[in-house]
Amino acid sequence: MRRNYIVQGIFWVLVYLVLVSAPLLILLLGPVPEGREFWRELSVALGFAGLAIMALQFALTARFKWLKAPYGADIVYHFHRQISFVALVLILAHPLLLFVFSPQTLALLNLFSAPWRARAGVTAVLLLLGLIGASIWRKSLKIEYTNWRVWHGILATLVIALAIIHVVLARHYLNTPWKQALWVTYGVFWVGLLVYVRVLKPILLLRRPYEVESVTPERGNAWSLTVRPVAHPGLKFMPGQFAWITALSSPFADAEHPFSFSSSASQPGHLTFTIKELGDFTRQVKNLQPGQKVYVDGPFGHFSIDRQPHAEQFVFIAGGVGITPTMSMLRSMADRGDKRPVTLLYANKDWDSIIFREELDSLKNALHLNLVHVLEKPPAGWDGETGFVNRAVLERHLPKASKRNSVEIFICGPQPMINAVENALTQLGVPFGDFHSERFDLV
Amino acid sequence: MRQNFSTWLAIGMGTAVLILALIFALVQSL
Repeated sequence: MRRNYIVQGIFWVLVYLVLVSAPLLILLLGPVPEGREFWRELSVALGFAGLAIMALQFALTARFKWLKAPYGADIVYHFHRQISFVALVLILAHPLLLFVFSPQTLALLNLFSAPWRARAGVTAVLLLLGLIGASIWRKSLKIEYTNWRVWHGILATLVIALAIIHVVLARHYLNTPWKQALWVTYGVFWVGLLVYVRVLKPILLLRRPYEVESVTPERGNAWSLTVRPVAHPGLKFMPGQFAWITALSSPFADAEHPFSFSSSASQPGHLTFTIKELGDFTRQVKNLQPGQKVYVDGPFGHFSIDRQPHAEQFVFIAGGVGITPTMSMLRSMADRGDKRPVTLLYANKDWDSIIFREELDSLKNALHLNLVHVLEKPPAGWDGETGFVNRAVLERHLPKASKRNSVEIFICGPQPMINAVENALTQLGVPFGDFHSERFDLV
Repeated sequence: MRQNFSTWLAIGMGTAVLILALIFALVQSL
């Protein structure tokens, strides 16, 4: 299975490279317009390359399961973020090279006197700066996630549309009908992706609704939302995966939120998501009433024991609400009668905020489970682990691996915790492929 | 750690595209 994912992973990287390079290569085929000076041609090439990358951003976030399976959704989203900086540099270099080597082109910045091709280009760049700025500083600008998501989609569409108008009006490399056809095809591809994400996908979700079965309070200011399928068999998932939930609005509203399943994969008729009150949407979960419609798009994610069937034992390292995918894996193992040894290092602020504290204790009877609590603020008389999950804690509790891949480690929690644990594991000589992490904080 | 992979992949893609753009400009300006 792992080799399969590696092959798929390499395949999609190559496809991406080909799609990003295609416009430049195709423009060089057949009759090309007369060459101009090097810097002008480089400027144009960077513009085309930046546009191709920006356009593919839609495909990266269109939630194609086959695209995300080899890497995991968090990596695809992180790549979407990182490659956007690359695209921004390429796109900014396009006018900057022109300004430096042909200073008269600076006049194109005056939107009142500039030709329409320049107006479209300049506006696209300004919108792109706004789009990326709002994503980087969303939290400090206090932009709510739902609003940000809607505007991210609108701005991205406008940027691409204006950039294509800019290319078409500039005309320089559209000197043959088939080159014009290339850009029309690209345009159709992008519109097709948008239609799929914004129209077809919501229609499919509307046809497979779920309803709220219960909302129960948990420790640590969290709530367990259980939903069941209405007039359809529901979905099958691997324990540890997540789904996008739409509640309190229509699937067309583009107001979905990703949450890990916390329920057992052996009970697909009842899907539970355990959600901590952290933001605008999560605070409303407790207000959901039994019978209310909910839409579930999933499953997604690579973070699952089912992707590591060869493992002889597992280690779960969870921080706070990061316990949810782990809980799904533990509950599934209990339902399956899986007796492989499990170590759970569970970090929390204090004893009272430990989500699933009682159930984890009782799971010790059903599983071969070594449960280690790590408390930042332990109660008086606590003789367990304190502070954070660091190298010393890991050294004390990690089982010795008999061979590579025999112990698979799953890490889920706040970003700083994941980074620290990954670094500590690397220092301890744990092979890169033997630990897997799930990041909630994507934007 | 895993995110380093996507960062390096993005840098790699950017470098590949930059090299291609340079070749494009060279071919066109010669």
